[in-house]
Amino acid sequence: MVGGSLFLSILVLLISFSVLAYAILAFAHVRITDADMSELERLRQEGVLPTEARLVEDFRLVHEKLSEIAPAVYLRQEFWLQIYFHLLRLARWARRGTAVAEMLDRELLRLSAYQAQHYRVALTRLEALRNPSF
Amino acid sequence: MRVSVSLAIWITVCLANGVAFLATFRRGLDRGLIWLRWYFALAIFGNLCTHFSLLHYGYRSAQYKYAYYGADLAIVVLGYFVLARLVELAFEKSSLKLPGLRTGAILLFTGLAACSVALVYMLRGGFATSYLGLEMEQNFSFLGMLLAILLFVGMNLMQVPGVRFRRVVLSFSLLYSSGAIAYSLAAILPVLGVAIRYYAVPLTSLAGMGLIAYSLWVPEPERQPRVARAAERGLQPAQEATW
Repeated sequence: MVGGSLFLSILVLLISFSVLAYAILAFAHVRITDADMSELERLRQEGVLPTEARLVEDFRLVHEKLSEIAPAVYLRQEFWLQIYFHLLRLARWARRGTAVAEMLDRELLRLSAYQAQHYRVALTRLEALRNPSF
Repeated sequence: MRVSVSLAIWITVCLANGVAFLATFRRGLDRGLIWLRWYFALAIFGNLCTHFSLLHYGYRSAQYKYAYYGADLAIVVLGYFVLARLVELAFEKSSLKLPGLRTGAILLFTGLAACSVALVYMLRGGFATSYLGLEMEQNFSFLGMLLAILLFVGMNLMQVPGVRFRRVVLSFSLLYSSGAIAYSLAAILPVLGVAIRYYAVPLTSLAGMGLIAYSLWVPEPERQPRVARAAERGLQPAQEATW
């Protein structure tokens, strides 16, 4: 117990939970930082995504399409992506109309691009299954 | 052969440490991260000592308690020095000067250890290993968590490059914060103490060490300069997000 005080221990617990949450989110952010942003455009040009960019709908659409083919090509969707997506949406709603909202929009765009990269990998594997080269 | 859950967790933690230790031999690793080799070597050695003292002397023996708390504390303290080294390396090319960083780390560690010992003595009237160990582990985990997260925020503010560096620092933050949560819960709810020491603490180690191993294994992506990336997307550099 911190200094023999229950209050201090509870305080440490709460701060630790906050830092843990921040660390997980920051880890997620670092993970998607290098997503290839051109992948979304490619999907748009191929007609997989609508021509008009929509942050939330684009992510959902790629997620659904990936869900359809991922099991067939032994690809597992990363669970934390969904959590991060909903968290970003919540933060975006809470900070709407501020400069932070723009930053959150870019983060959502990166997340969609990261998801799109996975979709591309799945498509490539599916193609290889359909047309095996021996 | 029957394997208990705690033994299975212990084996998994050891394997994660082993993978992380091997990862430090990867080519092209930043020279600062090589310090992690000593960190994982000590973690493996500490785990082996704890396990064999448990097998040899039994759960209620003083030797097992010494090994358990001693090994954990040694790993946590060495983690501080790894963090201090990471701070030096992260900011060595920046304008920020950090004189006396190592001395500061040693003073911080010594001060916290002295405070923990004094508190336990005042509250308990003696130095029971488990009380002293729990107090120090909780305090050190909390401090380590703060140091790691401050380092991460500082790296973002100073725009220090290096995804792997960031991942390693975040892994440390996660390791320490989950440890602080486990020890705080053990302090608030003593009835959960045994379960937390047996299951939760090794699991937090597993998560932290696993993430460090992952951070070391995954190759660092080639990155364009920040300004070029921002220009590509039609953004001003200042608009780039930092977390």
